[in-house]
Amino acid sequence: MKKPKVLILRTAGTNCDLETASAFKMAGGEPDLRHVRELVSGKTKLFDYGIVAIPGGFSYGDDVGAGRILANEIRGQLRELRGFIRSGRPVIGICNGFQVLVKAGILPHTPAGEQVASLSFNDSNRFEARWVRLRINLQSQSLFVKGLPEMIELPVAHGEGKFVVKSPKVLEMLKKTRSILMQYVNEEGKFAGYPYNPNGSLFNIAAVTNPEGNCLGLMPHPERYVTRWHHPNWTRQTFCKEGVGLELFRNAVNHALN
Amino acid sequence: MSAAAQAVPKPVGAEVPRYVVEVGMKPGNPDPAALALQSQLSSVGVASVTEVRVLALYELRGRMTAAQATLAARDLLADPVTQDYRLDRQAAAPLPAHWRLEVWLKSSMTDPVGESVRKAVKDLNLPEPATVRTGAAYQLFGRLQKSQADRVLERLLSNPVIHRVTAELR
Amino acid sequence: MNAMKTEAETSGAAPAAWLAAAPRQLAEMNARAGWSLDAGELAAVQTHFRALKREPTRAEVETLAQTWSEHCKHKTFTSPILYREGKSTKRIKSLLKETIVEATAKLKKPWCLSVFEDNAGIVAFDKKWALAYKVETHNHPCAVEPYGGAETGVGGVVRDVLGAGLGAKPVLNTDVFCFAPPDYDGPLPSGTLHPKRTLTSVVAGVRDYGNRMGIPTAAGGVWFDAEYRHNPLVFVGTVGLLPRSAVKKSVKPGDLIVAAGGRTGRDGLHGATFSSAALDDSASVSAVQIGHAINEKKLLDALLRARDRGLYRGVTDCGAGGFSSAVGEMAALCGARGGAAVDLEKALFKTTEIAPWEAWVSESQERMVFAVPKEKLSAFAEVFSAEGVEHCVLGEFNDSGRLKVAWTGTVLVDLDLEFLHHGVPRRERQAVWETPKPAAKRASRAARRGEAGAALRWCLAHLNVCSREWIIRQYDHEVQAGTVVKPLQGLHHDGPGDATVIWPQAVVGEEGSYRGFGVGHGMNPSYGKLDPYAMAFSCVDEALSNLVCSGADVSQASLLDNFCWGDPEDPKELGRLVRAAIGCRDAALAFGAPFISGKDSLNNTYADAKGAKHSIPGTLLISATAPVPDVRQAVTMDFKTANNSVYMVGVTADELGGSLWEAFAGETGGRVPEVDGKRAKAALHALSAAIRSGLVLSAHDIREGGLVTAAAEMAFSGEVGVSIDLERVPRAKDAADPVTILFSESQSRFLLEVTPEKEKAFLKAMRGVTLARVGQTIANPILRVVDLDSRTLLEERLGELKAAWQRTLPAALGWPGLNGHNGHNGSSR
Repeated sequence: MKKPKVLILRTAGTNCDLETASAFKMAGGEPDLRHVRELVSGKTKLFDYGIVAIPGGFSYGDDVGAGRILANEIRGQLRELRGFIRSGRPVIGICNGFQVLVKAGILPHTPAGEQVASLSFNDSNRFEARWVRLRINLQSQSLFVKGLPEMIELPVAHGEGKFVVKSPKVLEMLKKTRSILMQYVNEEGKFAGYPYNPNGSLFNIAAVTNPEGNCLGLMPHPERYVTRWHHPNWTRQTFCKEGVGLELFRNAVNHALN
Repeated sequence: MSAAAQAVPKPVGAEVPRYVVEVGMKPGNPDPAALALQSQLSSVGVASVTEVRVLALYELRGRMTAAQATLAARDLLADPVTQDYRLDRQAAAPLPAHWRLEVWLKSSMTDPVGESVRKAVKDLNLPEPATVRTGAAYQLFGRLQKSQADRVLERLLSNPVIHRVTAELR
Repeated sequence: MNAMKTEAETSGAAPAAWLAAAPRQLAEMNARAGWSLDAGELAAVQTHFRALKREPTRAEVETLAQTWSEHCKHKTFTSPILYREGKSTKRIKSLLKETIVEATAKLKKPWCLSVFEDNAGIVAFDKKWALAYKVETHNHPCAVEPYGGAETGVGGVVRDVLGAGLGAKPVLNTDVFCFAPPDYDGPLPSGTLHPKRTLTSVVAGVRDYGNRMGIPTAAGGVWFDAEYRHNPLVFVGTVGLLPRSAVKKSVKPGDLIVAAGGRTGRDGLHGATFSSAALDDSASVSAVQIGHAINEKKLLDALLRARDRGLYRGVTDCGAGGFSSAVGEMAALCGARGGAAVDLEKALFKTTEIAPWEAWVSESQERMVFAVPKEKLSAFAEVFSAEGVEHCVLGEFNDSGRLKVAWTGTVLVDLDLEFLHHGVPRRERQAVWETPKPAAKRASRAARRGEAGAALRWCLAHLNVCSREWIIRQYDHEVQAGTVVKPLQGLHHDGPGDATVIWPQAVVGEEGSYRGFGVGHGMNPSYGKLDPYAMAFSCVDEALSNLVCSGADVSQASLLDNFCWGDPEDPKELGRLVRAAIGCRDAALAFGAPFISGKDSLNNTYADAKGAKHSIPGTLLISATAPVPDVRQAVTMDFKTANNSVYMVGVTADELGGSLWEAFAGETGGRVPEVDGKRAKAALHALSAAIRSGLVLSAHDIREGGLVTAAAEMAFSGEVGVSIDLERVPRAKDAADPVTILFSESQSRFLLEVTPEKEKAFLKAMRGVTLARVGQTIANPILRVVDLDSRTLLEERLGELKAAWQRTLPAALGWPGLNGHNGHNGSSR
């Protein structure tokens, strides 16, 4: 069976590339780690791949705001990414990858591709490394969440994860286009404050897609929950066979196969 | 060899243009760093500060115009959704009386963030600055004596081993 | 580079004349220049150059000063010591060889691949991979500038692992701190930072550097004691994995000396000599370094790629002493006599304002030195440029027996390698230990049984027991997706884990392999104040017990030692150090766990205004690692369900010397806990095997605060109640009252949760080990203790115990509770 090629974009400071590649491999894809410079120079072609992933990390050290420098690079020198997304292929930005997609004006999706949201400093003014509960928006048609249960758990680890928008219109637009994919909730599935919402995100937003649902940006790390032994309570309970994070990657791979 | 081609940065002459960009959170956007500092003030015996604002400072020195420095501020240094920026030569909106505490790394210290910014400015197709130095400005509104401002600087915001600091009533 | 300053311009003084100088003049030069050389060493240098009939250059003296520093040469540990213990005297030729190294040599364990010879200890991980582990301290810089010091400390230990063998990929960072309490309100001399600031800034530095490098910081600890207020201790560790084929490095004549990474500047001058000197008000400014994690991450990426393509033969990190140490060390590996020829002007510089000798010993961060075969250079250059990392060719390794450094043709250094590495005179020191007189008989504790509840709550809230969640949550402890037994455990992910277990599947990449490794620590300076020998044994016991509780196979454990001590010229201080080192040897032999690496940081003293020296308590950190053959069999410490049996392993005796109870009750004179090595080894190995066979549901070792504190932690972490019957606790005759039984800190003891179905098999597996069923888990969320006379002694609500345990650290930091929003993150940037 043919395996879809997955481009794992990396640059100075990308940290989560190996485990993201590993997750895609487990999901049946063929990951390929490439430095963004190879895409900018044309040495590597985006459209040779079925899936693009921008993994977590501290690209360029987060020195001027998380993801800003890589976002500028993508906005300025990797314009094909928009075409890639328009073609319906899966694109996923995890944590720093989400920050990059937002600051490059790719998510939330706007016709002009302007930046209308940001991921700002956590309200607690600290780096937050904890597991969170997420409610998946069942109205979303996004390929990434096919077959997933409504409530899942994933870990977050970030200092700048607070989702904010330029104006209330942006939030309305996100709601209308069903682009809010996941929100932070408590054990009862209800919106709650810190620490259930680890960063103070507007409307408890943890993940956002484009209206078509093939481009996903999320702060939590699905690649860190691909087997049951990743869950903090695995010694206390029995789970379904592998971690639910893997399902996200499987959905992307299966979509790319078709 | 690419390695040898990199020139050692020369000391910057006084005639080279100098811009200081200030970046702060837009009103309405909570500033966790400011709130954090505010909550620590009582531990150094300061009770009369009504508001704190924090600004990131970037000193760019290089052969660039003010318009170019503004572009760097807009596209790199400030987030368009959450932050405002201002070049030091731009007129500032009038503010109520406040103490302005500035903390900069001493010139003998390597400034890694400054280094990153320098390279990133070049990647924006702007002239590469000769140096970029970073600092922070803390605006304390309310009633404050100089001795208290100095204490805040010394105990909460800086280390004389690596920083040079100023406190100014504006 | 004509614009570079000359040596004279930079130092502002004419080069000093050595050959004719009197000892007093040499001492003055030494003090002015900050070389930290003692009289004997200064004389040895003078003698050497008198024989050569020429003055040494500044750069040569700097090279010798850095290479001969305590930090680099471990002189105290490798020089003769005349050790007097009571009436007997023993002449130790080398403390290191006769204790730590001797134990490893005697044990001859097959998994040791490279010990005490490289930048880190290297042991086998599996058939294809090896594990490198290094722990070191960065105390003095953290006292002066805690954020920068912590960052560069992490950067340095990571580079040690990058320079182990041909380079290991870091997969875990550890951090252990010793600070004064953050709510300390006593006097502090000017220039000493408040402990709260030190703590928050060090945590921020460790966090920022580790997080940016993508290495999970997932194991460690903090010990609070007011005696650290002048000299905080910061231990940073890194574990890395490397292919077994990459364990050995070599250097051949003709190999190019290539430096890669950050550029060289004036920051960090004299770090090695600074770190070996005592602190006082005029601590050197230029010894503070600034780190930039992104540079090191790029360097890491490039190095691993170049390694896998075989583009270099040897590598080492630029740490203390900068190029002088790195090139000096690698040169010694080349051919029979070693040698190197350097053209220093070829280095890449941050600034023109640097003298040649400064460039030679600068400790600018994020640099490594490689031995690159000539024919591989262009491929090497390509790999490094692709990652955005600069490099330069400094010269060539050769077999001349000399270290030669030139600056645009002018000779800067021309040293005999034999003299450089082996010419340091070994001075004999005096050490003395007197066993303290046994204490007067104390009042019986039986009458104080009514205070057990209050003491328990006090122990849980104590700074040395309380929750460290405030710190841990700032570290990304799950990057690389391998942390399967995490530092925070239990139902709400907030209980105190023992050892951490890493399953490095993204690195090792073997489909279907569940092999991992565990890392644990042991430290208790309170025991050391009474008897450093007992402390050492206890540290090893604790580190290994932690590993057992997470499911590691301690029959294949390896140890690391880190000593932080006071003034080695004080015979009593040195005597305590000797005793601790002997304890390490005996413990390693008893448990069958070899030492693979170690470091020491001496002169952690503070000179007050009157000139009197104050030392920190002698502090030993034992770090331990052991394989976890199948991470799916790992366990955690939280009670899982009600109606399971609670077993206790080990014997409880009246050993409350240095205990939390003593501090609570105002008692003194208790017996410091001692380890019965033979019994402990048998118990730990049997328990380790039982856990790996799936016979134990939860496990926790018993430490500070005794068995009741451990039981409370297991209960509130799992939100499962427990009832303990003191009558059932295996104990010595002198543990006859409830307080002693509950709060004794006897070693090698565990509390275990075992399901009824597994009990029979468990007891069979543990035959021969002292243990007993001491209670059961219950649904009622309380901790109940039944006294020897069957009356209920204690009944505490788990919620209240947990609240007391969680409240302390945030409150001491002025944090408005874990659910609060505001708090200064301590970054000094």
